[in-house]
Amino acid sequence: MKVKIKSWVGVATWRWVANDDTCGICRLAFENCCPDCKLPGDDCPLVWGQCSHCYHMHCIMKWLNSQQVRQLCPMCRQEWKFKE
Amino acid sequence: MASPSPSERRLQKELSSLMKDPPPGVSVDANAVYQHLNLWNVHMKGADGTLYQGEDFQLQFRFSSKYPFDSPEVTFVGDNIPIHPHVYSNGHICLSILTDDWSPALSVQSVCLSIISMLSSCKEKASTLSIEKH
Amino acid sequence: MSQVKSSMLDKTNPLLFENKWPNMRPIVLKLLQQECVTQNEWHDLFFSVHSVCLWDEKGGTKVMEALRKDITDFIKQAQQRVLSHEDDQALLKAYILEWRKFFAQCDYLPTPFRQLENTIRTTPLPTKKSMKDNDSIVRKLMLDTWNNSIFKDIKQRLQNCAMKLVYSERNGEAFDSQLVIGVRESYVNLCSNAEDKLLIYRENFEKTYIEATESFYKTKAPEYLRLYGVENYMKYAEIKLKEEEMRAQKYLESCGNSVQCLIDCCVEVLVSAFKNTILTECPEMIQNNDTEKLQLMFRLIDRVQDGIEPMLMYLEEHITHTGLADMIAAANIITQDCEKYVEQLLMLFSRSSKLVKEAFSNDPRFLTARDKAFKTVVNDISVFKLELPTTKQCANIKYLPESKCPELLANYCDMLLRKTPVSKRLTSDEIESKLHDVLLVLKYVQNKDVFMRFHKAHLTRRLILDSSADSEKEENMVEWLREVGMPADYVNKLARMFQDIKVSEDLNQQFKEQYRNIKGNIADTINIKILNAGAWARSSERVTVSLPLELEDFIPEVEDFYKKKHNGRKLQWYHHMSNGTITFSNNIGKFDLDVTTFQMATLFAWNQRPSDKISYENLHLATELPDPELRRTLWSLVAFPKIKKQIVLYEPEVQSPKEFNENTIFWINHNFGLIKNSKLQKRGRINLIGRLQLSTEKSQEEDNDSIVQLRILRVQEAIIKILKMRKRISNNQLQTELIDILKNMFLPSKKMIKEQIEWLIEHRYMKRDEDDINLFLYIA
Repeated sequence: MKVKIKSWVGVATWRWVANDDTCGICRLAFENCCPDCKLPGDDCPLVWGQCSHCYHMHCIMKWLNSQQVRQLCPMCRQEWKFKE
Repeated sequence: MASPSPSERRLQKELSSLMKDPPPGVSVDANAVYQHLNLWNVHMKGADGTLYQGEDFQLQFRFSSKYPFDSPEVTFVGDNIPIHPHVYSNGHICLSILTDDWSPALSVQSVCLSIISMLSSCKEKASTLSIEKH
Repeated sequence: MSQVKSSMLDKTNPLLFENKWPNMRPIVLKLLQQECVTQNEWHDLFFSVHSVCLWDEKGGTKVMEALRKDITDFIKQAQQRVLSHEDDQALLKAYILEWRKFFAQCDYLPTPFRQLENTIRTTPLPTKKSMKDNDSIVRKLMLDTWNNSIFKDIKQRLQNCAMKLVYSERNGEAFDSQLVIGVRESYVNLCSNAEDKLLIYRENFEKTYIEATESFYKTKAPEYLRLYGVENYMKYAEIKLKEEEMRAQKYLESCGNSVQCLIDCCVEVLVSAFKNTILTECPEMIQNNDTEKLQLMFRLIDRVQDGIEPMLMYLEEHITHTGLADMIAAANIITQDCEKYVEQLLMLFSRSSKLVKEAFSNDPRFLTARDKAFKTVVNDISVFKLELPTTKQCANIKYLPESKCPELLANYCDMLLRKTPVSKRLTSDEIESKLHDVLLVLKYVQNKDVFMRFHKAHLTRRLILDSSADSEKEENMVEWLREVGMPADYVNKLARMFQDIKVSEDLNQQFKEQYRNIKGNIADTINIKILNAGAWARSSERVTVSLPLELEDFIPEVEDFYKKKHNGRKLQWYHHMSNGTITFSNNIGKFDLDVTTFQMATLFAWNQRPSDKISYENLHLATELPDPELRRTLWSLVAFPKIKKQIVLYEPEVQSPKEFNENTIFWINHNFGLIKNSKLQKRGRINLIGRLQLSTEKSQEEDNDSIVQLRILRVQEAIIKILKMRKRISNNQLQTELIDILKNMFLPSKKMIKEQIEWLIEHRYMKRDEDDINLFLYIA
């Protein structure tokens, strides 16, 4: 008796890789979306700063837009720059 | 929960984590908070081995709908206002993270820890600030 | 002026009435008798009236008196002419002749006497503008005199005579209808009451006409009904109603609402009086599909206020009753076969809709009754009950049993959209029309959320197993669901699923190109489907499994590849959905088996030791599958339905996978083979996947909870949404708006709404008004 694989369909879901499980701003899980969105995924992406901290894009944009003087990372207070 | 706003959702999360894992000497009246999610009363015990050992304080947190993008308003309330160089006798607290240095990554928990450490690091009970408006 | 006038007052004054009248009178008499008057005479009359009124202080009154006398004389003569006839009809004829002549003169004679209006009118004048010819006092004098000296005396005779004529007309005798019309006209025109011109007509002619009609049919109608039965009677009544309407238009005054009053009276006496007798035959007519008779009944009964209510009720009862009776009669078949179930429903729908169209011309009230009945049938629970929910956690939530219809509808949809014997048999157009039928039924389903859940699960399977019959139709279906009002977030998720599959296809292409050269053929055998967790998955529970080595090696390559494509993302494998095809060779031959990854992993346990008998415990170690999954997988290999020879054998025998114990022994069936036409085949392909598992056993239970939980959440959300908008709202209004918002998902029970309102009050999202407990206020 012998079994051999002829073809295989592998199913996976994708999720964000982040240092934390939750967004430091809204405290919601990265695998879910920010509080203003309904569906996680491409429409509510994560973004990383050069300081390597990571947030929901919508959350960090809200924070940066509210800061007039300097734009700092909420976690480490370094100047916020998007990681390429 | 019936479609809470983003700030309510975050406060609910904070409340449950604060109840599950409170910093030493800190407790919150959850029932009162459930009724007014934007107004919290937090009990704080003076840390052992500090000038405030054995004292009980009450902190009041007031959150705007823009929380956590706006800082909460935090004051000492009640009979016992700690005598401290950075605490006005009307309960107002002079702490930079509550104003210019606020960050949305901070939380009720981290604010409480900062206040505990501010009290703990005090060497001499003296109120250098008067009731005069600052 | 008066001085001048009095100085001129003189018996010899040629302008005095006494001097003028002898010249005026002959002209007046000529006019009354309809004789020719020259233009000069006509003008003279004007001038004379004017002069007399101006120069003779009592001229006006005197003229009136003289006129009255002459008019009276004239009418007396006319009366004699009329009354000389004994016979009613002759009298009527003579009267109408005289009346028409006289009435024509009523338009002429008053004109020269216009001046009198100013001179002798005692009552305050109406404004000039509103004063018309027929308000003139001379005309009034003429008509009043006619009324008093002739009409009053004979009107009863005239009226009776006219009614006799109408009566004989009703009995089919012909006569000169002008006679009746003439009588009516004199009634209409004789009235000098300016406020209500039709007063005399209405109180005499119209009243008598209507009474005569009523008494005519009061005798005739019951007799007809008794002799010829309901069906013929309805025809009779309809014809008579038409006839009477036409007759009324002829004989009754067209301004005012005489005709309507007459019709109302006819409806009352011809229809209302026998309404119940007629309606008794309605259920049988519906039963026999007598559309013509029903059409007739509908036309008749609908003339009675709220008359069709019982018909609506009979129709609803009929559809509900036959629908449910058919279901119960065919329960054995339709509970097994969703196609038969949907077809049976559709038959009921088309039969009922045809009836409503043909018998009731798609009248909206009947359509509503039909829809109500459809709803009852579709949501009925006597044949199918949906089992919801199951776990202890939800045991305290009482729920009402629901119809299984949405689940069966979703299954039927799946049969049409998947590669199945059914979808192969049908043409593309047929499938499309059947899908639309499903949507039609879905319209009546109350728990649409259940349909959505099953539909999505089926779609997931079709997309994962590549078993869609037609991908274009799949995507059309999503749009149709949107069109019939399925919630947008649900439809968006379905659309996202298709998008993920398309993106995955591109990804596979790139992946294969990149790895073909490095890894060889294995790259071609692998396909990956990367899903957006938010759109697809209901639970993210991970199931461990020890994959066959070649796959195990491959996983990191895929992960690596994906990571490079999408920075910041990582993959989580859903091996309970992964699947594949393996070649299985044994003593008999070589077979292609479509298997789940769990089945694959289990069969691979024998690859190095094909003849071993392996205990459950050791298979556990080899596959690393969690206990419930291993049991389920093994059961599918030892007891796959509808095949003669199983691929794996075991002992001791058990009745369910739960009874396997650690020492149950499993081994490969070396004599496995496919049997076709009772012949053993050496080659062949078989699908062992069955219904692809979308989640683990545990999360399946949670699924049922989640439907109930989700409903609770939706009710809360909707209540808050309404309150935010309305600020304050009554209980009834809230319930109505709530159902309106939720109806495309499910119908919340009164109890659930009440409980959620209580919860929201308790948690201070809202409160009751202090003075009115049925009024709710929003708390910001």
